[in-house]
Amino acid sequence: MTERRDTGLDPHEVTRLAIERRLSRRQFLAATGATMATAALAACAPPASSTAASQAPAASSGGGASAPAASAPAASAALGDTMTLATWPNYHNPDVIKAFEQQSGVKVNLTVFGSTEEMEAKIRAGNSGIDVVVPSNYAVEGWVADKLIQAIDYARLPGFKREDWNARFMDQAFDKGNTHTLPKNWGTTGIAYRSNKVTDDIKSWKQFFEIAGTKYAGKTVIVDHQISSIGSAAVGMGYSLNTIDPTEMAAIEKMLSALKPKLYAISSDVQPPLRNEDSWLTIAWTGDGVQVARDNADARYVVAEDGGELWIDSYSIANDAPHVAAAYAFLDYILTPTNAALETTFCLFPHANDKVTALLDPAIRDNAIIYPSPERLAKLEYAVNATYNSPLRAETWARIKASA
Amino acid sequence: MVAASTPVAAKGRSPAGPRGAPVRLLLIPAALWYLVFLIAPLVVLAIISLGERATNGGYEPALTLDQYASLATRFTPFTNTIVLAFGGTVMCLLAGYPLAYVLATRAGSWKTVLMALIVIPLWTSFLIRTYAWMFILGSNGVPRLLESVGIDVQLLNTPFAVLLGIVYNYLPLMALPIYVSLERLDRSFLEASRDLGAGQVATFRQITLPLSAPGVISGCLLVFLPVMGEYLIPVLLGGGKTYFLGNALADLFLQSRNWPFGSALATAFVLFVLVVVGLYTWLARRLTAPGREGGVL
Amino acid sequence: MARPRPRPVGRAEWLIDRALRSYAVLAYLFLFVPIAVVVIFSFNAGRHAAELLGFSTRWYESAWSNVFVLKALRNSLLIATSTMILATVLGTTSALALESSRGRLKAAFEQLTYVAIIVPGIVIGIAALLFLVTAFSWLNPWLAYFAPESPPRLGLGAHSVVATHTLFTMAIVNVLVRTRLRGMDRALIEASADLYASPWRTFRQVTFPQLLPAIVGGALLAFTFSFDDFIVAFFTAGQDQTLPIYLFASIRRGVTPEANAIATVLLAVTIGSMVVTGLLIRRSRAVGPVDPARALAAAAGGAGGGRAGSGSTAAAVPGVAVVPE
Repeated sequence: MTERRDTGLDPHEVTRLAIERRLSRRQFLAATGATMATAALAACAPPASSTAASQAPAASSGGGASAPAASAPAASAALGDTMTLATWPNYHNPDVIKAFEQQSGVKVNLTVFGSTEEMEAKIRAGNSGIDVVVPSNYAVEGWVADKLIQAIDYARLPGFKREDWNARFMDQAFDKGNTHTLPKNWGTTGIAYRSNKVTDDIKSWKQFFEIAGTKYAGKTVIVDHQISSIGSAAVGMGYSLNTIDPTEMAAIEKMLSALKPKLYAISSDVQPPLRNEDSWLTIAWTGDGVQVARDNADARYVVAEDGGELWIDSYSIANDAPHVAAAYAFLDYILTPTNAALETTFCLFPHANDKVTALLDPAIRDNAIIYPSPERLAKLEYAVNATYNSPLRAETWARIKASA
Repeated sequence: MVAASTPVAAKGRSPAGPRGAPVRLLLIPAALWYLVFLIAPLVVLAIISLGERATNGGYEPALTLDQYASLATRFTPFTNTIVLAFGGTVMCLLAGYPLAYVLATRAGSWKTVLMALIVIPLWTSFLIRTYAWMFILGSNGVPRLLESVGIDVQLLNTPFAVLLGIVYNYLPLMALPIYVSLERLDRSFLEASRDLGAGQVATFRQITLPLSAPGVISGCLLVFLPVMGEYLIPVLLGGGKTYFLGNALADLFLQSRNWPFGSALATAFVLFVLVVVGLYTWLARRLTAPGREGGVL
Repeated sequence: MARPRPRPVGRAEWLIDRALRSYAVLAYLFLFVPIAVVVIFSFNAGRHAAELLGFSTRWYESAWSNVFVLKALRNSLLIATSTMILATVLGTTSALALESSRGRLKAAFEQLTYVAIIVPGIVIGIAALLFLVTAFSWLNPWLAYFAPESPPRLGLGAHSVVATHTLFTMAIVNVLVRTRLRGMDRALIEASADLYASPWRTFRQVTFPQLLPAIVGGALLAFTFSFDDFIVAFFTAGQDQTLPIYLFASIRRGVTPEANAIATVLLAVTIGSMVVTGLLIRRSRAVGPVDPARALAAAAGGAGGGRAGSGSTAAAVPGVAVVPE
């Protein structure tokens, strides 16, 4: 494919960008041993012994009188002295955070989660002390409905220019008009493979699911995530990513159940087998694609041409945020193009603001893994809340995993 | 409740240690602990199982038996895993019985030590025992050795690996009760059988095997019931392609956030275990009436 | 207690005998070799099993310098020690109290102990999680009400793991101590009473020393189960990590020699505590006619198997049915 550029990053880039732990969210979980067990459980208050959770001192809620750092401007007295950010692993450039802290006098407490469910559990509990939170698109509707996040007052974001932002990622169905969220990173669900072993030119989900069970039987992995796996299978069979139509689901179930014995594994930890070539072909997310490609010259990541999943992680403000002023200050700061560009350069996830894209290093901007071509992007769909919560999807997925 | 405050001189079934009401008070801390951390959670589980899944996941208070009703229809996926669990149990039996037999009949004074040796793996981490096979069956273990002689085979993430994991982890649990039951066998039966001209095989088939049946059943229960609730083995050795009840429970709570159904499944599982074990215990007690040796089932 | 062994009569029988013995040897190898393999390769300088590059402790060094590993190890040790203390105290006191009890109270408590051992670990983990999370969500607003300055906030963590671990380990200690109590020689106690010793003194100087092996054995058993447990901690640990939880997450990331090193450390702690138990039991062999090792093996191996699996049930069954009292 001529339009596809070199999917590996040049070594100088790697060195320049290399930070100690450049891990995808799942790898971060593995590295820290963080358990998924608190995921999806409501009312999970931050434990006293947790290192990750921060306790916003009650005194500073509503703009406390704690003395700001000596060099901070007087305005910081109104912002308070801390702000809590609930986010994903390695989503933020530490330099940018530090610069913000110095400029505003507000200390940023970073709380990291491995899954939307975990984040949701904390937020639902209430009194979590979290100010800014970064949910995935498919959870947003539910969060708005359950009043977990508050509407954004754009008057308090003086630096925000709506026209700069890419329409593909704004004003989407999960948050019409972006009343409650602003995109931070977006990403895709695509196909990662080792071109040394997979000689085919991988183009579509249809093709993926065909060769998975035949030519590459025993060497393919699909993720243990119904949205991505059932969704991609649906796309391959010509249905919508979000289908919950019983007939279509039955057909998908049949296909995937027949495929299952021929898979190498059903696991969301796609990188280990791909790296040591136990698997040659796998469903993967942008972050996985970026990292494996960075370390292996023959590794590729493609967005399928028949469609697939597009996801966005967005900034939003918790409904009971104790430091709303600080939250706005942070958002305003982090969303200015220069700072956003620094963030993207660090974590290698694509940004939704076109001005930001323009500021990026060409190596990143032209990297088709990070920024797939517009044609490919156009066919991708967002997963919706109904799919996320669909009992039919959950049961189908369970039946597929349990099939003989 | 008889207050046993009679003097120590009473013989017979006198309890050891200080007696009386103050001693019984010692039960309170433990009882409280059970109440708070065992009973209350199980009650909460049961209550949630009567509820409904909230639209965005979690629990919505309700009083309905829908979850239990749907157990029947949603249980069909598990028929496959029951087959696998059953297969694992049978293999465990085939592997464990001879071992227990040798120990009971051929070990002499080494019995206790050898028995303790079998029990030792039970005390080590289940996770490590499962991981050991991941290591051995993984691409950098045995398959790589086989590759050097030209055999290309995938051992990990197969039903074979899962069965192997089951046998490996549960072998001691199977062997132990069989051993106990064989050991208590009255040798006079065997000698009588010999005297009456039966060969070794026939004696085994007609005397030993039936008399060891309680141990066999006990061992099978000890393996089959927990195996159904397995989580680690299907995940680590099965590559996510095998799906036991434990995996279903984890998914229901962590992925699809369907608390009520998950609770119903968990409650049903617990009830099933309690009933089966209770039934077995009652049966065994009935058939092991005083005067009968070993229990004949 | 040697029973006369039936001498193999014919060639066929001799063959069967040989076959059975060989099988037993193979079975033992089967049981222990995989664990040995994990340990051996933790010292392998090479990264893969296929590269046996020689002895090296580099994986231990790398694990030791991993701050998350150390934190997990610290949590595990803390949890296991707390569980051991609580389980021993609660298990022993309840065993003693039970022996002085009769009737329905006794039966009811016995059932509770039984249920605690028999309910699969995964269900205990899930149920405890649901309960604690619900309880905390009720309690936290009250705490905030009473102490608005900086409200203590209850949540899941090491303490909730200790609570649930204590649950089934104390049941095991209870069973062990009661088995020992029942098997004790009454003559000694009665003799002590006949010599005008008070009940408390009898307990302290006669009963308790005899009980000690069971108590100590139970304590160490509680420690190892808590230290090794994965499935219950997985659900109840909240943001805290125990070493098995860390190991699990690390394994999912891929089989690495560092995981072998961590696994070996886990094994060392377990085996170490078992050796200590064995030694202590051996020392007290002279104390009573009841063979403590046997009681321990039977009851412990039985009850102990209860937490063997990730979704396990009790081996109280052999303790109850096959060895009926």
